[in-house]
Amino acid sequence: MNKSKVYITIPLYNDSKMILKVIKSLNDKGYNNIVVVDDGSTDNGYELVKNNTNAIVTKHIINRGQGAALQTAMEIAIVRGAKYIVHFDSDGQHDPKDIDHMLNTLIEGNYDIVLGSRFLKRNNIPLKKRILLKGGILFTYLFSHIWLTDVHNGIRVMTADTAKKLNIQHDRFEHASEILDKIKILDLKYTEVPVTIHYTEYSMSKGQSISNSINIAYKLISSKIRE
Amino acid sequence: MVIQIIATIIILGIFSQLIRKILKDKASLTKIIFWVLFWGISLVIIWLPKETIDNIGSIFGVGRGIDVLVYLSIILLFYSNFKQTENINKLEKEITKLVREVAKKQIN
Repeated sequence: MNKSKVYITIPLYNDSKMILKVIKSLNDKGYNNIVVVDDGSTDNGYELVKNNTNAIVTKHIINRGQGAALQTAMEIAIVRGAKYIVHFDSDGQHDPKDIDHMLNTLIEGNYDIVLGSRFLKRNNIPLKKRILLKGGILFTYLFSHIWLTDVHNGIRVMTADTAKKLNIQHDRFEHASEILDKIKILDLKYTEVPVTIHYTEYSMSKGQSISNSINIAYKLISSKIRE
Repeated sequence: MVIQIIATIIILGIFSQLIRKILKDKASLTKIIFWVLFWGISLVIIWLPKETIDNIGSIFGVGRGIDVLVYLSIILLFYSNFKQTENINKLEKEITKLVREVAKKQIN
């Protein structure tokens, strides 16, 4: 498969420990169009990427949130001629091996977007995380009327056309629910494929807490009311 | 009587601030008119006889006139809070747009 039109978008926030490893693992799999948007990190992640990789890298001068960084990265990828866009995390949770399969599914099934699901294969998701995610699945169903096996899983593959339509408006973590909501509203053709998530102490320490999840739900509901 | 005097002093203080803003041409005319009316009416209400205020209250189905004022104040506060949240959200979006444009110009 020709990977020259595939762009991997990575929002980066204080992940200098992992980012070089993540980019290298993507390069090893043949993905060389990588857009990294440093979201106002306080560490030296931006400099590390700039000086040690061939990635396209830029920086939000102040922190605007993961959704905002993803949107910036997607806009850059589109301008550079991306045909397919991949959302990928900077903390080493995602496995580059999954992208091939997701891309093949997207192309062969003529989908607009393919979402990764950690529940579709045997997994070792910690109990607390599992409960939180199941709650998220239920919330997504009630909120967007879309039933998935996993939500807030950052690995997604889509066509550039879909990326243009999505136009993420929620700057912070609510963007993950916004994407699902828009899949329903825009009537996009989607599917889920099993993916591996590497839970390490490091990635867990950066994950969502219960209070954060409540905050996300509140922001989504209030924005829906304002529409 | 004491509370009425204190409230009057506070309102007069607010009026002096408003006058200062008018003189410095810092506020829009509609805002000035709104606040002059608001605090002017408040000042009148404070000095109305208790029976008159209670009569106003009974029109709204509330026993005491002062309760009408409290309810109105709460509604006003909620509204201004809603407006402020709206404005902050709008500003946040503008900031993101700005940060994004800067980022796009500084690609390495």
